[in-house]
Amino acid sequence: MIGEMWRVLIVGLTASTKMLATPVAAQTPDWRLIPGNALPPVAQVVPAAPRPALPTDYNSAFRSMMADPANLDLTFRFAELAMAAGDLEGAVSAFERLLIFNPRLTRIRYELGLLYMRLGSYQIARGYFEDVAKSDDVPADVRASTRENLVEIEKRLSATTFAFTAQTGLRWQSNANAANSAGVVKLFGLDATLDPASQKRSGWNAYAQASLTFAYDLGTQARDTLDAGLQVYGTRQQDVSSLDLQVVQADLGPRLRFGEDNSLMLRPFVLGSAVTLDDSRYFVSYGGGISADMAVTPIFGIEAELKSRFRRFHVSEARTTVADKDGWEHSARLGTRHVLGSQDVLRLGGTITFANAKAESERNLEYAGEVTYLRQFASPFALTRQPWVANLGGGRTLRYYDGVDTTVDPSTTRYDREWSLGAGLSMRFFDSWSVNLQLTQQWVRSSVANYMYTNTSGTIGLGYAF
Amino acid sequence: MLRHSTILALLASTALASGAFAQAPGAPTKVGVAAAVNQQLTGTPPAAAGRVVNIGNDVFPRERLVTDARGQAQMLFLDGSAFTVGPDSDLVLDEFVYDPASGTGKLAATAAKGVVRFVGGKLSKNQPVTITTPTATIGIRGGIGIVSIDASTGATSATFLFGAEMTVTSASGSTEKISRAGFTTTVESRAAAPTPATRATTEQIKQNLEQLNGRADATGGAAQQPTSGQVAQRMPGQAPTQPPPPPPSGAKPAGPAPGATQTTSTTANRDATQQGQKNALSTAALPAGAIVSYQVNSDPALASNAPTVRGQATGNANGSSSNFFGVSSGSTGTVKSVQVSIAVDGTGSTQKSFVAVTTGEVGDGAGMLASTRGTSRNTGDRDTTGIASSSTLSGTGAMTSFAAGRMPAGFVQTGGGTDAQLSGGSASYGYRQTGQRITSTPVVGARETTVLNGYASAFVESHRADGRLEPSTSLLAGQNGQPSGPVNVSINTDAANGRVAATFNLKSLNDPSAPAGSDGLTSVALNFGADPARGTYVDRSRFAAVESNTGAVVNDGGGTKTADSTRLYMASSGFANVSLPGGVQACQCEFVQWGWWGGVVDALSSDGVQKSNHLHMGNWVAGPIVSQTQMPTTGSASYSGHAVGTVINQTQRYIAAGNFSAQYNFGSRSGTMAISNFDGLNVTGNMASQNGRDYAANLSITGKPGLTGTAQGSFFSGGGDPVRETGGQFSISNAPGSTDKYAVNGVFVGKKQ
Repeated sequence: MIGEMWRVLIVGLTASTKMLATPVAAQTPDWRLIPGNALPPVAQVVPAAPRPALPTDYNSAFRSMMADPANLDLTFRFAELAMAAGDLEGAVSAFERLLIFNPRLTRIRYELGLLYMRLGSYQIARGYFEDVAKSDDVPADVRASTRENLVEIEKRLSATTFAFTAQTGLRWQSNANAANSAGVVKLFGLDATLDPASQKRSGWNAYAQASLTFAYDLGTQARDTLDAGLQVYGTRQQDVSSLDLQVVQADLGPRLRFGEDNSLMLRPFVLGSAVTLDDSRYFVSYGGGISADMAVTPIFGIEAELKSRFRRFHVSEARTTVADKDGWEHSARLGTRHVLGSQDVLRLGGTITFANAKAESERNLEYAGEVTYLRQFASPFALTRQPWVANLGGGRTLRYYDGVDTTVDPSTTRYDREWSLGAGLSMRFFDSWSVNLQLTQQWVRSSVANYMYTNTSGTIGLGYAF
Repeated sequence: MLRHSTILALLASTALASGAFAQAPGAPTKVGVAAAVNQQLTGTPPAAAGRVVNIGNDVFPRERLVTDARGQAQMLFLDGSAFTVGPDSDLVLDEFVYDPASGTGKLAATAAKGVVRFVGGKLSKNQPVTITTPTATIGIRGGIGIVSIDASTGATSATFLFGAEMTVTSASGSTEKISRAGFTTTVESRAAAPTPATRATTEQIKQNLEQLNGRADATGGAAQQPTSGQVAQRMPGQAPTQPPPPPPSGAKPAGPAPGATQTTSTTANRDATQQGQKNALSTAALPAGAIVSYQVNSDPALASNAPTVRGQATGNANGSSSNFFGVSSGSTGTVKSVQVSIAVDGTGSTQKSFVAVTTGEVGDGAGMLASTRGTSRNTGDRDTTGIASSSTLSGTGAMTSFAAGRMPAGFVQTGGGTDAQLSGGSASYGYRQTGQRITSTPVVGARETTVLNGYASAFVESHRADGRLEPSTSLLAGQNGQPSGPVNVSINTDAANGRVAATFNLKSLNDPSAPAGSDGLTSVALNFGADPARGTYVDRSRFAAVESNTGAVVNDGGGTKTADSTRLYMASSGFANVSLPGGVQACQCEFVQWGWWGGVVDALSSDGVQKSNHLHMGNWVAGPIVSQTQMPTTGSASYSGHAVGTVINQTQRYIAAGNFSAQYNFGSRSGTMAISNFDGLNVTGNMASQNGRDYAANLSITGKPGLTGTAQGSFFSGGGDPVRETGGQFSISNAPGSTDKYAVNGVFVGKKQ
């Protein structure tokens, strides 16, 4: 209230000062007598007051500007201070007023284009930049910048955006063929000896993976998109070529957002994949599902996914019984995200998967749970502002099979249980590149000796993200 | 309405002013100033006349601001927000309340027509600023928007340019919320709902801007119009080289969830790993005694219902072919194999019968060498065909070798042989057949390393190179100058190595129709399976062998000699589910085994003529025997089972069977035995034993006149019982010199009831 009083007082003072010097105009409705309503200044009647020092803070700059809205210095000063204070709208209305004063101020149109672009309002920014591009009374650097910005606006307005990541690297495993250490397996229920070539051996493999995601803006207020993704993955073993793998996977589905602040995301999708093993067809799959993500609070989020896919395996001379695995695989996953601090995230997740394979011996129900802790920290080298991320995690998996595999052991139903532990570091260099290290340890126990193994694996990879 | 602060202000300014102006009590407080005006803008406060508004004039609450067809103005409010109106616009400032300390208050306006741009100040950050039009109410929170209203219809278009949210509620009550910059909606009439938000085009926005951003011929009320030069002076030196960054909530797509590619690779790797574990199985070595069975497919070129033999040779008699068995002798040993086909199809003179036995073992390399032996009779008379071929087997798939206890998932068997008819014809043939491992575990019975002893019988049909007809010879187990007993047949089984070997010593009973003094085999000493690939043992009821390399020793009336060529087979009946002729139920014997044997033995006759001797589907019976001292000396028992053998009936030869029963008293070492319904005959005999274990009987036959016979047998032990089962051989014939040619020889076997 006191503030208002002072403002009115100052205005009143200013007005009064002016009125003292200005003759009253002829046509005067009553309320014009109230201080504050000055006549439009008649040109050059009033000697120009000495130019006062420009205000140094936002509020006084605003008040000075309000008192003398046609004053170019005060308007510019206010716009500068407004931009510095983050009030881009204030700068916008100040510059738009200058256009009313002189619509030919092309440079002001350029500045308005920049302001609207910073605000993320690209259509109007484009309108201003187009005006600038048509005129020739701005310097070359402004014209060049205008052209660049118009190109950038096209990109940003584009309904389709995409993201791309790729990684390639080397992996060493202490047990590349997942053989049990004793070298004895069950065959027809008898203890058979593994061929020396099939016994536990370590090995290197090279791998590459890439992922491309397209998002098509559906033009809704919730920023719903239609997403399509393509992932490819391949490994080439140094020794055990029978484990050479190639995977191609694609998915398609809308990403829909709901809720007051678009905090709930639902994505129904269809997916398909094809896998080759040892350079021959292994299986193809198709299916679909729905995934959801909810940012419950800024520090707690939930994600969930239901997915079903049908897998058809390809019988070959080397894999005569693989069609036993044909069938639908249904999975349900639930995960939580806890932001522990500005640099740490904890993720918990659990998945239940039911592989309804044709053969009882391949049909299984799997329960898996995992915990991952992520910590990001500033890159120790000043090559990028992107943070480095360290991860530490572990998981437990239980897998229950439905029936016996008579070729292996007609008297024992398979039951696998697995612990895994991993740690890794993702080091960003330059904004798009990263070097990724990962170390994993797996302990797999089983009711059937054939499937028991331990494996230590280390990976080093080079990644690129666009 | 009047605030006391305003009163103070009034007083203050009045005190300072010269007092030349009258103060109207109750005058409203300004809410902002007209910051730019292109004429004409008229402002009409409530309950007062309109006035032309010029740049710098205050604007007041509830003031109605109207522009003419060329007017444009920007109103700047105390909180920093600005309304810009274009030509032909009509805007009323309904409410302006602002508390600078808290930044809260209210700003509401009504626009009747024209175009209005609103740029938000502090007030709009906290609560929506509302603009009401004839057809809609627009609320803008924290932002910038343009509203245009059609003068005649009141249709309202609202475009959201920046901010938290713009809501457009139509007069009819429907609301459209816009939170994305650059989207617009229209309410056509009072009754209409707002159209779904769509992207505004730059052209639409530019049309609005033209009405709001100055007029070529006006200066907005500025005394000195700002010039490009003045502007350029105040601009930073260089235009920025990079486009400005987008606002924080970027437009990048969500991309794969962190770890989605991880999941793809993890599950793929796991599938690959499991496949690798499965592959390892296909090269693993089985322990000794492991049995794997294979499904064998007969080569279509053989035109046969049984593998390895020609359909023409067997007459495709209906019988049963066993699976192909692989027997492992551990990772340091090799794999043996055996496959047996048996057929007894029909009764009497139209009966067709054959046996084919294939045994194999891994040779020096990785392939398995196998031999096939068999005989067939499909014409009901004495003519039979001897079947002989040899083959190699190689594994297919991940494992190609049968060595060191490995069983491939499949194999290819390539071989060739010759069928030799008794009457002299022969045919050579080749075959290529495949086998697939059966994944279900075969049911395997007890396996033991032991010696079985017993009895055997067979008829010999011979063919001399000079064409002279030879009579049939009836052979039964026994050796000249030796007592009869089970020792003449011995079968040695070796479970650990999967092998079997046998020795059969038989001697002849004279053919009743033979002319006196004619030749015929008087004795044979035959060896089976002693060498690798010659005999395979699966389990107690399944073993088979072909001749040993040593060959047969025969006596053709002129002393013993080694046969020139020997092709023999023997197989236990457990391999194939073959019904006995006449629907006779086979004995459910557990320890005593019975089976078939035969082959072709070529030797010079006693008078130096090449002679081929065919033995087709003789029978044997053998089991574990214990020494006489373990025989019970008291009590009695009944036995029941079957008898099977070959009948010579005039010119016809066929296999027949009957039911066997015996009652025996161990104290008196005597009993009776009977074979009923054997080719229409009923046979009985009184059993007498000297050592308590082996017995003999003279047989009386009814059903055909003039027949006599003998039988020899023994008791066999099993399950701790020395007399658990019994079996032996028997023969029946007419009186010597009879014109009615009828003879039988065979075996019988029974189980204690």
